[in-house]
Amino acid sequence: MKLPGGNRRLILTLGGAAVGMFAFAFLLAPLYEVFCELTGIDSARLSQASEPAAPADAAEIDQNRVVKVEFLAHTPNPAAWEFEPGDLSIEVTPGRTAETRFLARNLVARNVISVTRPSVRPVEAVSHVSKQVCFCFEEQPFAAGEQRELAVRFTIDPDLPAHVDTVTLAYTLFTAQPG
Amino acid sequence: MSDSTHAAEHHDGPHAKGLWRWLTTTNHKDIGTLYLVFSLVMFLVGGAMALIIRSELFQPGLQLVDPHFFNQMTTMHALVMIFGALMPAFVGLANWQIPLMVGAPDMALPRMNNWSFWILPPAFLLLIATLFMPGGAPAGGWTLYPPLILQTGEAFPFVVFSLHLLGASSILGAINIIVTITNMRAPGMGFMKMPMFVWTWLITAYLLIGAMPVLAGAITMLLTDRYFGTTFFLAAGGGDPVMFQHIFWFFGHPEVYILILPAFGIISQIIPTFSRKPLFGYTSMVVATSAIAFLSYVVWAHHMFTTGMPQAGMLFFMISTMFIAVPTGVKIFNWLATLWRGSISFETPMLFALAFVILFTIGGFSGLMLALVPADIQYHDTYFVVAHFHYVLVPGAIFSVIAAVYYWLPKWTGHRYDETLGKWHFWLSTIFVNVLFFPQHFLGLASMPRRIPDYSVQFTEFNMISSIGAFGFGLSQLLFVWVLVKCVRGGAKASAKVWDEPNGLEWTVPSPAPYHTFETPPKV
Repeated sequence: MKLPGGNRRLILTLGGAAVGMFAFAFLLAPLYEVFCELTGIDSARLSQASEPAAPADAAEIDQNRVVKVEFLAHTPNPAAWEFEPGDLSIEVTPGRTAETRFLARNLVARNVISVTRPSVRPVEAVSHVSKQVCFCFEEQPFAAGEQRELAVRFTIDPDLPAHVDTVTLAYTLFTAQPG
Repeated sequence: MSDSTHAAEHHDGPHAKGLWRWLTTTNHKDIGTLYLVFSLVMFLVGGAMALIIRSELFQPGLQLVDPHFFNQMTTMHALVMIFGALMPAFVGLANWQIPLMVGAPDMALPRMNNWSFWILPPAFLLLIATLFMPGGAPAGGWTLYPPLILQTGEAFPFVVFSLHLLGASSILGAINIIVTITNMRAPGMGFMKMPMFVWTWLITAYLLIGAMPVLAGAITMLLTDRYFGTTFFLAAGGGDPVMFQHIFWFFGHPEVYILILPAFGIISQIIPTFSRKPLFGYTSMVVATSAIAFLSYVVWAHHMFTTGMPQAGMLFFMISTMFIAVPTGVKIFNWLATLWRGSISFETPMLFALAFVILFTIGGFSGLMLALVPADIQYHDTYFVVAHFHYVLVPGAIFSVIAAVYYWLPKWTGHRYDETLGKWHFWLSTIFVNVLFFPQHFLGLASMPRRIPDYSVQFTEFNMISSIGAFGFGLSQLLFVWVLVKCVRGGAKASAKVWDEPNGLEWTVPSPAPYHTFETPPKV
């Protein structure tokens, strides 16, 4: 079938646009991460060890400032896991290192590996939390029925905006994907 | 010379007869009819699902269906109504009317047109078949949010493939419409002389090409997450389920305008005819439609205010959303100005068009309320949202389709429909649609959640009223089917012009419109 030249060009352009938009949907996945990084809501860095930001001037740190840090623990599979924070909340002075523990128990009768995803709220606190030790940095193997304490050591940077008086560290524990 | 004898031989009708004619047809009028009949059937199927939902909700407690089946009904009702009833209805109207309105002999790509339609029935067989599969039909809502939707049973890949087919059909249809409008207008019909229905469809077709492939991408990612070990949306593997919501609504919000822009076009055809005045503010209508289409791509996250978003993000999406009220307001005021000092008569299409203007505006205002972040956090996932989008889609989009059918039916069949029954249909529909959806505003403001089969007793009365309205509205549509059947079978002979002062090329051909029209282009 022979199409008029104008039609053929237009069909190819429009078809190409449709294919391009299909590809664009997949491109949105990496773009999403880039966007989160640029806007400082990048939670990927919460899964890696980082040193606390060097205080601009140690003398300027308010040693009396206290920030309440709350801990949340979730698991989408409560039949397979018991997962709770050791402390519901602690008080932390920005600039000083703090530590807490979470309790996790494998409820199934075989060895499994857990993986935990961290999150911090409010969003503007995300870039002011640095973790030196966290069970969320790597997968944790559990023997059948094993119960364990999992440690987090972290620092809230002194340049946390002054109006933020509560920071929530939340962890979601999954059974690692098979394979 | 040989050309004209060739044309004369074919002039009166289709080559083939019976089922084969409909399977093989490349005639835009045949395909338009197929689309419209298909969408009417789907409208009744989706309506039956809605009546199951409203029966269960007639009183608190679980009476008729189990909660899992209830959830399948809410999901399937939405998918059937959006992809089966509304979109094919608009494409059917486009097929019938666009060539007639721009003075073209047919659509630009007739064979592809046949394909666009015949993809639909198998796609819907796939979708409806999921009801009978182990684990049932999808029950996670039409928005298909992971991780919930990934728990669908065996039906999951069928849902995804069915949506892929529906998307492909829409994209092919959209390409066809754009090529027809761009390249096949009658000599003298510049872009700014096109009827508004043609304009709104041109813009809608571009929205379809921009949005449908994104949905296809999102559901493909769901498919690979479930079967091929990817973790686009699985938090355990480093993915993010909220990202699905972003991608989905990047499609979903333009989709909302795909469902309403052609309606704006229809109303802009009908109101001038029955006001016996030209449309007020034609240029501003075109600009407003384009502005709405553009804005529809930058407002998607207003569906997700409760997912936790930086304040700057919420502000941006709130303001851009409220900005849509400006071009939409321009349209409403243009319609009012068209009516102003017009010589108005109230035939059935005009009644539906006027009800559209009023009731769609109610839906628009509740949309503005939902755009406000602090208010939305309260209204989110309540019946207020259900009331809002049903106001814009039922007395909005569906009324416009009904109005269009009454308006052009005499041109298609050559008979006048029964005006008395048409008016009965209008009044019953309009009264019951308000009985059905208006109380849902109150339910939502009192915080009744959506997508639940049971509710607290304090919501009982409004739910009962709403369910009565649902049955009234549903049964009134059987009257519509009867009016259609009666009009196709016979009735008073319609003239070529049909109405007093209609404007446009479609009224220059005889009624019923001959099988082949505008084989020589008309002069505009």
